[in-house]
Amino acid sequence: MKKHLLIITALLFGLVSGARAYSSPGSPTGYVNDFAEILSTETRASLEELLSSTDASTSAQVAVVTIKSLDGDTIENYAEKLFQEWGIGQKGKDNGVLLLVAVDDRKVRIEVGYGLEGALTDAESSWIIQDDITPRFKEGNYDQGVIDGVNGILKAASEDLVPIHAEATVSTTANFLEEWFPLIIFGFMMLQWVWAILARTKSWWLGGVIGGIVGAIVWGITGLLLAGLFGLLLDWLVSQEYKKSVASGSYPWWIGGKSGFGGGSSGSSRSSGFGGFGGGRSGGGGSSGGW
Amino acid sequence: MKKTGWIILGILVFIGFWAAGAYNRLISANESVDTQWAQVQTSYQRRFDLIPNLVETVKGISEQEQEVFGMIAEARTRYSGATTVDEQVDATNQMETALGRLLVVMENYPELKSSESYQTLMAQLEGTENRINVERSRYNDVVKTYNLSIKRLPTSLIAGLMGFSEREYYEADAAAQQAPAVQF
Repeated sequence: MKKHLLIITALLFGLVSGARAYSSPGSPTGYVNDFAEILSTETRASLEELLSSTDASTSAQVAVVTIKSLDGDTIENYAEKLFQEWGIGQKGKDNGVLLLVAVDDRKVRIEVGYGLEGALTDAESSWIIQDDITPRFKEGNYDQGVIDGVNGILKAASEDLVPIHAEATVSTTANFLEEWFPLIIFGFMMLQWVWAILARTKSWWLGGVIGGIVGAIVWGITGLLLAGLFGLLLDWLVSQEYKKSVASGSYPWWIGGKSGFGGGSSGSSRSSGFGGFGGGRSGGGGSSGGW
Repeated sequence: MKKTGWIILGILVFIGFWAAGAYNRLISANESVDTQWAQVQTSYQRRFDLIPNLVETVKGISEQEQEVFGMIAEARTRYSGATTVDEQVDATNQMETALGRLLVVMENYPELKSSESYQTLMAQLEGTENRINVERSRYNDVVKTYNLSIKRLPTSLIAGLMGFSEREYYEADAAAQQAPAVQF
């Protein structure tokens, strides 16, 4: 197998590291992302259904991606970067698999998440590519090649599931909350306290300065501008409110003395029909081939 | 000026709050460099586990390539005896040179290449080399993040105060960059 030797030699001697031209193909729209448009509508629909039920019921989250060209990148690097960007597989289980087809380069790769490396070994991936996928591709039958490939992957992956990195990921999340909870509470107390001071000071620019400093420390230049503006506005508002309160004699809760809850939540949600992948990781396991 | 006093105190508390956060972030970043190096080592170990099989396959065909087998054995011994990262990197570079030679040797035995076990072995080796490549480049990424954070203001103040020092990037041996002329 000259192909294997070529790839290994290239990897060994760092020839690959020169060509790192990964550019994202875009966001995933489902389990099947046919960017190269080589699959028929029926194949896409049936694979989508198969893969979403696999994801819901069992062990593996499989993504099928076809692209036109690698643009000078290697398929190994492209697959690893794409896997990382999309986060295929469930977080903690790392049970994702990426079947990547680069049509113009005539290259195909199965990239396996950490958690499935025990079930879907490199050798097994290599057999799937050589026996199931590339013979069909040589005939120009992309639909059948991809379907057979996916079936091969699911068969291998269903045999067992070894979550190697599960513990590490879970414990960091727990530690994070434990470590930061008192500080968050303290932060809210501080916030309310500063708020009260800002209202009492007649100036309305101090909030802008404090906001700017805090913003710059936490987020850099963007933070400086945003938090500065926010602080300015906040100070102006609370100062106005305080003036009114002094005049009327009734103080709102945030003036001090009482403690209250505040805050909001920042959340990012990805809006795609299938709900997105789960943040799984891979470490270059799997195999590549060509036709 | 009682008011000014309060404001200064407030700012000081904020700075203290930030400093604690920055310190913790540096600790985590430093720790993730170590974690990632462990990942690199795991992938090295995978290669070391695979190589005896490779050597056996070649030995079965030819006993004449003693020099290459010797090189591989030596690199293995050096790696397991290595205590510092530098020594490990040296031993790994030696292993890579030896492995390159072994692959050239294999080229001379067409009957070897057609066997199924050889092909499986090659698929495994390819996967292993790719993992090493991936973990190494991620190692450099986390080192970069860490090094940037200890050099950038304002975190660099804390880093200097608490004695955080730069971590080294993984760099391939200059000699190993020269791929041998393999006739494919």
